[in-house]
This record gives sequence, structure tokens and C-alpha cells, in this order.
Amino acid sequence: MSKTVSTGDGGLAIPRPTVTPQTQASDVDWQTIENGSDFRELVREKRNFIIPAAIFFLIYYFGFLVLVGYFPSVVEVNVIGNINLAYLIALSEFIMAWIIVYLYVRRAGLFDKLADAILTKVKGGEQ
Amino acid sequence: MSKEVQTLIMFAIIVLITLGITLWASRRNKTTTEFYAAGRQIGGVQNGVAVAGDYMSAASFLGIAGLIAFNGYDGFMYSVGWLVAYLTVLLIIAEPLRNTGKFTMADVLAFRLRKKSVRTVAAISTLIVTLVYMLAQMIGAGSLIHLLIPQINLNLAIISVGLLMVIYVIFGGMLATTWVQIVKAVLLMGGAILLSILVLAHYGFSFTAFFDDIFKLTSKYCEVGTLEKGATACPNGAAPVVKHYTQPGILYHGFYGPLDLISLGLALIFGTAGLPHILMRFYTVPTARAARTSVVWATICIGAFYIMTTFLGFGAATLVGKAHIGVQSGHEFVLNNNLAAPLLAEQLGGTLFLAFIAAVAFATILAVVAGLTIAGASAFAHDIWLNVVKDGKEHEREQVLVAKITAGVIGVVAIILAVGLSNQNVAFLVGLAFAIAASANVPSIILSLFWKRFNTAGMVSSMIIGLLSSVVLIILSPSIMGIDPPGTASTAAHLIHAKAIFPLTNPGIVSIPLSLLVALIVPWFTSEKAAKETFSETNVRANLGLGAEVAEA
Repeated sequence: MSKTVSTGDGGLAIPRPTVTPQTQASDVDWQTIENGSDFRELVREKRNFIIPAAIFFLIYYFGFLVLVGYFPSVVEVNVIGNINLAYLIALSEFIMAWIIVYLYVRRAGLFDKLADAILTKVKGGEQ
Repeated sequence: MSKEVQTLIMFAIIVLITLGITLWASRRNKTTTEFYAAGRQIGGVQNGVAVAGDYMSAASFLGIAGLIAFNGYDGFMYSVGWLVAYLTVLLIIAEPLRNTGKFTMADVLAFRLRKKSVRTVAAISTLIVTLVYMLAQMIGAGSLIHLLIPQINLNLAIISVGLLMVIYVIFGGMLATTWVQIVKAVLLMGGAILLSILVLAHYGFSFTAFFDDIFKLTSKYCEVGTLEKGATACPNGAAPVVKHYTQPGILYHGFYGPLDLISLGLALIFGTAGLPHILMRFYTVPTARAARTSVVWATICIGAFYIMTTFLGFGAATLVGKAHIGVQSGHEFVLNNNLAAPLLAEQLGGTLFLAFIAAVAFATILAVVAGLTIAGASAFAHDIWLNVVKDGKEHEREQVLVAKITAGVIGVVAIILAVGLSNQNVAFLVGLAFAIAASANVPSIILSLFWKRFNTAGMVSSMIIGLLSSVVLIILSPSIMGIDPPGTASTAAHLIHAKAIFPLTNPGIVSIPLSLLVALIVPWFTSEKAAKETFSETNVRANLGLGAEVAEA
């Protein structure tokens, strides 16, 4: 998480970003939103899923390459007829990818709900 | 009717369909959002199919089938890597990119960092990646057409592909490019499913019977040195290693083989998230949620397609046979692994099916080069012209005009380069495109989204180091450098006739960590206040979609 800056009276003292935003959102106080507990919860929830999922798939994929590259004799064992372990593990990579996609989409419903709640609050506060 | 005429008619049907789409789209191609991002009106599912289409290029359809047919199991490694790569796109890139950007990859970077230098470097990197990728596709298309219809010469074939892609982009913009891509993706999936069913039917729908036949095929190689054609022993006198087609090692063996495999894996897993024509697709949907849906559908289509490469590649190996994959050229039969899938189709479904599969491959190439052209045109017109030269003062009609002119220029440059390189072996170009994308673009995209301290100096130096190291290492690699045996055909010869200095064919394992390291170190020695201040904005936008570009009414 980024270092928290003292927001003082609702973040009014914070300098405006020097970059011109690309749309009509220039009146938004980004830092106040970023420091809000609900936004931090959203980021935390996302990280709690994305970081372990990314580490898992990277290990699963590169572990497979190391196995096939350096230990071919281990994976050359035929399992069903002449279908060997190497091919079955390769197929499992596809299934692993689809499972992670499925889990992410399921979890993303929660991310959307948290994001919507923050957006309603921010937009309500502007009016 | 001869094989050539049937193929030609199929090609003509494909061209007419795509030109029809372009005509329809040309009426909705006035504003920049329409030209670059199809008005952000493409549905999540359609875009998913288009993303899959962009990804299932000639390299994966013809290339992987051929790699499996010639190298067995090791060829399948490409299929696995190309699918798993989508997890990087889904988990890290797609939604934040849609939420913070407008049209190009540089939008995301320029948000936090000093605009002009960042945009210039990112646009140059985009142009190089797209051009390199495009050349591989165009030369591939040229050789495919020339092989199937020998009456059309190679240069004419390359020029027609180039002209068609420019027409799609200039008149139809992103809308036409997307629908051409969707039509092609559906045709390609249909063709692959049909071929797979025919292969399985040949084996009485028995998976094990199919694998029994694959297992019977073998390939030999030497632990040290290369096995001469027709020789029974290796140069050092040892007996060659014999591998069954289902076993790993035919392509990646010896001391550097496994390392090369991992290097390729790195380039694929991280390169996909840096390919400009794929990233650009996420701006065509209305919201970040639709971008997520796109990745899901793309992953389903791509996964199903790459599993089918088992049937296409191994099927070509068992049913056609490696020795028969190629063309008769005079008295000599020249092997060409790009023809594995088309020849399998001919074997199983006759000349009409061959014509159909060849036309699908042609459509694939047309659609992919059109997507690349639009990515390149937007990098110049939106990043360099509008934001650097014109200081961001947008004039809608001038913008679209500049982008269209750029598309034309890119087309002409690509045609000239492709004709010039048409007799060279260009297989390394796709690998190079992935390696440059992974090394130059991806560390910067990820760090600008997630690291508060990241700054302009870090980004520019990482991009330049990534770009240079991957290009230099490819030049020093066995893809470009090598000693050819006498009598090697010019299309198979190495560009530099000397022993390779860098032992791996893919530079990813060196260039990606190098670029990442530079990106992580440089910001600690250079401070940039604005980059830190704008992190809050990037962070909030990326996660909430607040202030994101909306669909055009």
C-alpha cells in the first residue's frame, strides 16, 4: 500500500495533480478516495486474490517447463495406453487456466460491488 | 476444376465478405473514438472472439500445426504458453488498462509520467513491435499463396495482402477490423473443429488409438553436434538419441535446450500483455467489466483452439507424414512445415477442403495485419502527432485523417520491407515481436499501475534497455547467426554466416529480467514529484473506473 498522507480537512490541502485528466473527472479528490477505508478494502480484496493466483499460475507453468526441460525421463512415462504424463500435464495447464479464470470471475462480483458502493458515495458527495 | 482455381475462388469469397464488412463500417468511421475504438460499442463477448482472432494468427494456426508435425510434443509447448499467457492479461492488465487509458498503450503510461518522452518512447516501441509482427505475417501469407497457387508470384501476393489491409483500416477503421476478425475467428474455429473431428473419426474416435499411432513416429538428434542428413551416427561417433513423437526433447535438448524452453515461456507469458494490437482491443468495449468478459471468452476460444492443435499437428504427422509436408518444386520436393494443416485438410476432405482451409488461413493473416496496422497508426497519430507534436490540442477530423495517412504509410513501408525480405527465413520475427513486447513494454505497464515510486526516468530507461537488449540478443542468436551446410536454400539460410554468439533462440530470459531490474532501480536515484502525486489518481481510476472513457452515444 502506498504511504498515507495526512489528509487534514478532507484532503483540501493536497495539491492538484499536474497531469490534466483525460475526461470530466478533474474535480475529483483522488487522494481522499484512495485513503478511504472502503477503497483500501477493495484494493486489499483484489490483492488477496490476484497475488496468490498469479504466484500459483507462474509456479505451475514454469514448474512444468522445468520438469519437461530438465527431467524428461520423469514425464515420459506412459499412463493410458501411449498417452504419457507429459501430455496430461500439458492438458492440465489448460484446465488450470480455465479454473483460475472461473474463480476470478466469481470473485470479481465482490470487487464490482465494493467499487459500486464507493462510486455511489463519491458521486453523491459531488452533488 | 483444378486445385488452384478452387483455392482462388475461396480466396475471392473471403475477400468479398471482408470488403462488404468494410463498406458497412465505413459509414461509422468519422470520429477518433470510432476510428480507433469502434465507438466503444463492441460487446464483451464479440470482443472476446475478436481478441482470440487477433491471437490465433497464421503463426499459431499454420505455425504450431507445423511445429508439432515436425517436432512432436515440443511443438505443443507453444500452444500451452500462448494460452496460459492470458492469465497475465486477465489478472493484471485488462481492467486497469480499460479504466485508465483511451486508445493506446502509451495512454496508461502517460497518465502518471511526463507525457512527451513517455509517449514518444512507447509509440516507437509499439511501431517496432507491430512492424516486426506484420512482416512475419505478410511474408507468411505471400509464401502460402505462392505455394498453393504457383501462378501468383510471391511479391504480387505480398502486395495484395498489404493493399487489402490498408483498405480495411482506412475505410473501415476499428469497427471493420473487429468484425473481419470475428468472422475469421469463427471460420478458423469451425475449420479446426472439422479437421479435428475428421482426424478422430479416422481413429474410430479412440484417443488411445490416435496416440498409439503418434507413438510409432520417432525423431533422432545428436547430444553433441548436428545429425547430417542420411547419416546413421553423430559427428563424434555416438549413436543418435531416438525420441518418440509423444516425448519431449526433439526440439529442446542438450545443455541450452531447457533454458531456451523457459526463455520462450517467459516471452510468451509476459509478451502477450505487451502486444499493442491485443491491448488496443480492450478500448473497444464500453466498460472494464466488458473487458473482463472479453478475456474470459478469449481464454475459452483460445484454449479450445490450442487443444485442437494436438489433432491438427499430430494428425498431419501420422496421416500425411513429415516427409510429405511440402511442395513439389521442379524435380525437388521442398519440405515446408507451414503446410501441415492445409495438407491434412486435403488428405481428409479433398481439394475443396484444402481450398477452404487455405482461404481461412488467408483470412487469418488479413485480419491480423489489419489489427496491427491500426495499432501502429494509432501509436503515431494519437501518441506522437496529437500529444507530442500538437501538444494535445485535438482536432477530431484532422486526427482521423492523420491516422488514415499513417495507416497508408505503414502499409507501404510494410510492403516494401516484406518484398525485400521475402526470400529470408522469417520465423524468428514473431518470437522477436513477443520478446520486444515482453521486455520493452510489460515492466513499465505493470509498474506504472502498481508502484508509486515508478517514474519517467525508470520507464524510459527500462523501455530502451528492453528494446535494445532483445533486438541485439536476437541478432546474436542462432536465429540469425549460424553456419549453414553447403547447398542450403536461401529461404532457410542464416542472415549472418558465423557461429552464434548468444546460445538461445529466444532472448526473454535475459532481456525481460534486465528491463525489469532497470525499471526497479532507476527510480531510486531519480526523484519525480509529479509521478508520485498522480499515483493516487491512477490507482483510483484503475480500480474504480471513475472518469473512464465512456461509450459514444
